[in-house]
Amino acid sequence: MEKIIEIIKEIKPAVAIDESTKLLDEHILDSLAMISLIAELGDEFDVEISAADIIPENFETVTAIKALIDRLEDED
Amino acid sequence: MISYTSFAFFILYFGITFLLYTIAPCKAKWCVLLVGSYVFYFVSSKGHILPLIIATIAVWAIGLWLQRLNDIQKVKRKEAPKEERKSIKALYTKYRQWVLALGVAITFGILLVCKYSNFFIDTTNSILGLNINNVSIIQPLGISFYTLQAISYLTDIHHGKFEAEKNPLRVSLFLSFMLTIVEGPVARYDQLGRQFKELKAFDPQAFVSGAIRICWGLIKKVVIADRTAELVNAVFDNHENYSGLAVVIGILFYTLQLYCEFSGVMDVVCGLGEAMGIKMPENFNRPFFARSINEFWQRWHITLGAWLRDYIFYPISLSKPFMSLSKSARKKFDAYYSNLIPTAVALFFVWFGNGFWHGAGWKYITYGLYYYALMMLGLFLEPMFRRLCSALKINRESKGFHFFQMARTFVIVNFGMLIFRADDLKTAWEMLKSIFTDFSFSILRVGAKNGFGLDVKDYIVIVVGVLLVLIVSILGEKGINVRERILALPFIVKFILFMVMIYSVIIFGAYGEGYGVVDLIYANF
Amino acid sequence: MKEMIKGYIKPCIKILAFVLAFFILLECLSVTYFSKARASQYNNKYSETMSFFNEPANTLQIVGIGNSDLYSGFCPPELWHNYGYVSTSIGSPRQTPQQSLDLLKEVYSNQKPRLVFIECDMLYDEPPENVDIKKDERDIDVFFDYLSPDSFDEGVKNVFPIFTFHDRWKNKKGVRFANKNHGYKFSNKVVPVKVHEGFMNKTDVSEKIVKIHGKNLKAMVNYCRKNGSDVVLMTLPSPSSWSYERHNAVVEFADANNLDFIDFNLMLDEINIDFAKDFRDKGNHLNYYGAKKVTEYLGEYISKNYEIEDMRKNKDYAYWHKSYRQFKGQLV
Repeated sequence: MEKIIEIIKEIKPAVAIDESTKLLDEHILDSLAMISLIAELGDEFDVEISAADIIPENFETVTAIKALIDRLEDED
Repeated sequence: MISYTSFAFFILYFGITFLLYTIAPCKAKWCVLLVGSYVFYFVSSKGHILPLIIATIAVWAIGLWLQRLNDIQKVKRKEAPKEERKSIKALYTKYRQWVLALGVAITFGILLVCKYSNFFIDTTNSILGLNINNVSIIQPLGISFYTLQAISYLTDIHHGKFEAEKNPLRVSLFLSFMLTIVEGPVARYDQLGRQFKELKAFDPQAFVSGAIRICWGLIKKVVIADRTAELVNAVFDNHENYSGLAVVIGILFYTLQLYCEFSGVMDVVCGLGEAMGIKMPENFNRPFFARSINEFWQRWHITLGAWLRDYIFYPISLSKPFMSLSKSARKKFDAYYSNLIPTAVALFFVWFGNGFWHGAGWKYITYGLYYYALMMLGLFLEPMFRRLCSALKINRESKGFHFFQMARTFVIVNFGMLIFRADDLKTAWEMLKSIFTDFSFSILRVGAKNGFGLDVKDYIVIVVGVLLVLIVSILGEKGINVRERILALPFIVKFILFMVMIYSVIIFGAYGEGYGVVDLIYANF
Repeated sequence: MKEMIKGYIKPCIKILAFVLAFFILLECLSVTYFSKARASQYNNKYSETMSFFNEPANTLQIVGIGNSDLYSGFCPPELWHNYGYVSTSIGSPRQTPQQSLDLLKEVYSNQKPRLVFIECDMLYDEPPENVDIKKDERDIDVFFDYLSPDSFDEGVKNVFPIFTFHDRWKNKKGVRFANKNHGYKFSNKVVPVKVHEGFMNKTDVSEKIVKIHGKNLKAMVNYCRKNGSDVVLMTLPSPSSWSYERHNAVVEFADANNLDFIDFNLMLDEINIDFAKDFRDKGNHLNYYGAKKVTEYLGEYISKNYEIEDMRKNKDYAYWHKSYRQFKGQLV
């Protein structure tokens, strides 16, 4: 969880985030930030996030992102 | 074409449909919408409905095919031993990609042929020095909009977002819906299609709320936008006679016209939907408060931007080849610039697509690439700009800096509008040059009346209208929903206010003799 | 349950009350401030077209009806001055046969004209070069025309004139309109015209009149005749919007309905039309000099074929002399 927050902070340094911050509603993650985020997440957790996974439910909060990653890790 | 702001539309096509819709039982309401939409489309396009029907049948069939492959894939993976699951998924994904490609090729192909044939012929002629004749194909009404909806529908099924619709008539309604087909918004099936399955009984509150929105939209379109059309047409259609400040005024008024017309029609369309209990996607969110080009296009023609983001930007930038390219780049170079590589390529297609979608011409492609160039420049210089600002101790979060950003965005957008509205690139360049070479204030003295075709009273109406829009926008930006506040007022106040609004449109509207016919600008796309 | 219905019925009644109030206000405004009669009295772009409202009852002998070609080329003040005929021109830019029919019905409410001239340029919406004559009008095209905003919206505007005259507030305040032109639009601008090759070259081909315009034309003719008027069809000189094919179509109609048809485009030499001096734009509209020639011919034609009284010595029509002097004032 902390790792995810760290990655987001690198992309958007000016904003304070915790597990329940509304990343999309508060426009912290726009489409350009999303690319950087997914690239880094892919590196860090060794999962493949595709365009199909980019739905609001998966990126609403850091908790949601963690759930997505856990799911992708289980799916072989 | 039947304009949304004509009596014929309000009373005949929408009016009768709405009456039947209201009295029909909830389960049958969608059928009323389908029949009403098709009657409207048939008359609007003078019987030219074949392309729409072909596209609809293709979309329905391919959707079901994709669904079938999805289902088979699930079953096979469940039955298979663990080691084989990944390969089954890969195999079926490949099948589905080919089927999806077929579906996209058919719908997009129809669009290319109907809308872009002459563009391709002319370009080929000028490159190869040939003289192939132009074809005369009538562009089907709404094709630019329903094609995007079709592609989004098929792609979402491919991704398993929802199940394909078995009933071809429901697919048909999604593609031909009377309120989205002429000028958008570009709807998604899980948002709009699902609502068609849950249509509700008549709700007087929703009706009144929708009616206020319709009225507001009419004020923007009929009172403000159609009035400015006179001036804009004067400057752009006779550009040889105007230079300097006059051209600047022409451009500013065009931006005003396009915004008021497009967002006004969207208000009308969303209000009509709301009156029927249907929530339509928003297309505008006070775009001139945007602080960057990126933000502007998230507030202007929102559904188009969202479509390009979801169906071009993400698929390209997140594709395997690009992700691995940026991965290896990140090992050697800065993370920010490595991630910029897939972004840059994907954005090129997004902006090329944006421009090209707007029109079959190099002017429109240039329009898109203009924004691409500026956006890439901005992204490239962002880290340096950030360092510069902290060195100069400029607070980027201050109100002053925000205002600077809004002004900068506004100027960029207006230059874009020049390209968009001018007859062609050459004219746009001429007009641009004339702003600087011939700059004079004389146009104000010569009398706007003779120069532009509007009189003092027209300008007063425009100014009052713009102030009204500005106030409502600023309130909205601060989180105050003006419409909700109005709905909470006592009945008598609402009654009078609404009557004033409607009569403002009737009395101050720029329609009828001496105003010229102002076709819906976006309906030609 | 009772509350639910109350929560539903009460708002619905409020909505219906609003709609009712809206229509009542619409009708009131349409017959008072925004009425056709008012439009004729105040200086706005409709005052010429509606000027016939200002003619005293039962005085008009001759009425011309048509589009901008008519009001540019037919000059009632000159017809009065040279022949003593009491006439008016009822035309507006791009006026359609449907609008003309509606206007004619207004005229007969307090006038009994002996003769009605119908200008035929309005039977065609586009200039000749934009039309594919060989393409036959499909039956379904007629259907589309009736259901199009143009027809439907016209109907709505006719029922509620406020929609036509809604911008009265833009006019100069209180300047009461002096009816000196009687529907004619004065212009002494001169634009030399270059007539294209092949203008009015004889041919057997006929450019069909679209059904909706043909129907309205027939309705006009019948209406006038039913009310005791004679009808004559005519087309004023207009190289940019007329052709021999259109001439043929109107001749067909005229023959089928026992009407005379004066096509000035075939009589340009006879009335001495000078392309260098008689038009105010590139060949679409005559100016005052051209209008004088056309009106002179019409005066002759009427005196030869119809028994219409010369009113110049009639005391009841003395005001026409005054209005002619005001008309002449424009020529300076």
